Amino acid sequence: MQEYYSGLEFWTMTVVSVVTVIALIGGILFQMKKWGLGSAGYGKPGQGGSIIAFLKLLWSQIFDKKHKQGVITTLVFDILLQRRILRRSITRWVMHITIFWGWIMLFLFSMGIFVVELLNKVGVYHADVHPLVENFPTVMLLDEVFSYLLLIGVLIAIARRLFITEVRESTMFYDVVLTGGLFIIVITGFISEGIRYHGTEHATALTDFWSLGISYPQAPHAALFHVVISLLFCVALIPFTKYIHIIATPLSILAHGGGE
Amino acid sequence: MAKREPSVTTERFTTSQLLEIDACTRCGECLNWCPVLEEIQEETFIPEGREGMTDKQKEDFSPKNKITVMREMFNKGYGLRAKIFGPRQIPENDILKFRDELYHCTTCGICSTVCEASLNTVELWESMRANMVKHNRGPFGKQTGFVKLLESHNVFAADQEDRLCWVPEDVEIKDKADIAYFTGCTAAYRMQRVGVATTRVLNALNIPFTMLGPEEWCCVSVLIRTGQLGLAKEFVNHNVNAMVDKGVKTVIYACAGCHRTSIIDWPKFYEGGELPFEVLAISEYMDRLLDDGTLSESDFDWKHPLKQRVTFHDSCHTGRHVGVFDEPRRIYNMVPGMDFVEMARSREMQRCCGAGGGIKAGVSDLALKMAQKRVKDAELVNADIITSTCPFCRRNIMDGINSMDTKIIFKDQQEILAEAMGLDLTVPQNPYTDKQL
Repeated sequence: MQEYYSGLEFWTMTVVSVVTVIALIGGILFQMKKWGLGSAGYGKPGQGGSIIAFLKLLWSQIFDKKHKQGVITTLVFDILLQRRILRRSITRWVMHITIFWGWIMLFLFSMGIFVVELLNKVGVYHADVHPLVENFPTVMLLDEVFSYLLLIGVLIAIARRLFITEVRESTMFYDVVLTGGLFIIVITGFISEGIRYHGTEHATALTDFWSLGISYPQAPHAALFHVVISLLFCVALIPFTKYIHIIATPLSILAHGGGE
Repeated sequence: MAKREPSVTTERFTTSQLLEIDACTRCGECLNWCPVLEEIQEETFIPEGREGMTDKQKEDFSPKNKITVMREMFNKGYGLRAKIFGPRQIPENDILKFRDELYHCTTCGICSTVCEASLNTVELWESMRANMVKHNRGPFGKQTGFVKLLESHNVFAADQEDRLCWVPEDVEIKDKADIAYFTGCTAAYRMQRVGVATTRVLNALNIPFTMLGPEEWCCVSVLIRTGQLGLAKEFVNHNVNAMVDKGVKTVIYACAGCHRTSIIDWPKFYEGGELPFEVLAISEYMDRLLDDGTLSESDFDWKHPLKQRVTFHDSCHTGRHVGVFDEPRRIYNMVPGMDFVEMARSREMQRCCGAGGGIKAGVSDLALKMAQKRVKDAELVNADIITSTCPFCRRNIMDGINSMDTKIIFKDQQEILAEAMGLDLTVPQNPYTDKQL
């Protein structure tokens, strides 16, 4: 390992990222082609897998003037705040809103770190001189907060699937890939962070707990493992697993004007 | 070797509907509300050939599982693996098993109301049913007879010339008017008292209206709900053009099924797209006239206060599907003396009476069990009368009442209004007098 400060080996990450982006974009295009097999209207002929036709109908439905509430209202209340879930179940809302915001914010932070990595690579930003932890304490704190939010959500999800009989009995592999994948990602994230701080001046009892006693020299490997499976599990597999709901569900809610 | 075709195709689905199938999060909320699943879980109803089901097998009838099966079937035909290696064949028996589950649904739409992903499940079920019919797998049971019945242009295979045989001589119907009253097959042939009440109330309120008479064909709700779309275009275009010929600007309905079909389904089949007139439930129309001052409460000229406790059953069609909840309540609350009470489940969370979606014809014992449950809801609030704005709900709920030991009676909204206004509800003798429900 070389050039380590955020846990990444540059070229390995570049290859994994490119593979991920290809899988993600290719997968989304493939899904849109599948959706594009449908018709432009009830009783009309199918459109042979046209992505344009799919997008056209979706667009017209999202901005349909017959909706009782505007697109922005739907976006804020029904997607970002997930009002529809809150109306039905507080537990499920806490579970989903923590996973939703935890996932989104960690994704954004990861993108930010990747940008810093690139800046470091081209010599604009010197990460070895200005370590992230010291220079962006607020970001690092928020990173911590959203990590725990995500963990809480994932644990509730797992608990539901394990301890609520009807949920457990109706659980299938399709559901396990989503919840299990998230669990592995969030746990390896905490462990890699714990190892990274282990034995350093930034170590706390909590980070030592997550480090599993593994010392700092192993940090790059742990971080690499975490980031690679995060990209492959949480991003590249989106179009091919239940993760697709990250894209399909908000679009469905928008197309129906929030269902009001 | 010829390329294998998917066992289940995407025909009859729109692009957005295919997206919706992937949007289901399998949260399971619909399982808490589906009235058909409730009967199956409580074993008050056991689907034919499915005796001894485990709890998990019962869930095959849930909305969540239907969407899961649809997703899996489409992925076997069109997923990544299918693209690389060809579609995976699905045994025909598995498809027919799913067909049976799909048709055990009243299309009440409660699953859509509670859906986290805001899926329009009713349209999904109807598209899948149309797909089944297209491939000769549907419809279900006696629903196959609808097309034959409609050769006569109404669901009772009655004479179209008798469409207005129930109208009292002193009821004034204009030849042409801005307002048309679309009667519907049930009120025209089997619940003529509702038709008489509606026309009497309109006359008493000095609302000039026209009717299509023999030119009123079935609204085709029974066909669309069961996926049999072959005749839909012809019937819809006929009805719309007949309205245009009479110069109609607003069509009003005292039948929730016809109302829903006209406002939601007719534009899909009408060759001109958007309908050239407005579609309103009669309570919506009255509400509007009260709002704009054309009508005032004193115009109703109440004669007989209704000293009974009345509860309102929101029909799925006018209620959940179209979103009309306040207007009928406003009308009821004007009736003097009435003790209006809501059932525990009302408005958008109402419990379906069990008549819709082809269930009354296709799985009549299930429809009866659901009706009984709705009557029990009314008993819990000590109602004397259940009322609604849907002749089809009326028919099923009355079947429920007749099969139970209960003092509750059913009255349509227009009957309640007409009685309280002291209007004559005598139906003239006609060829269908002994067939009234």
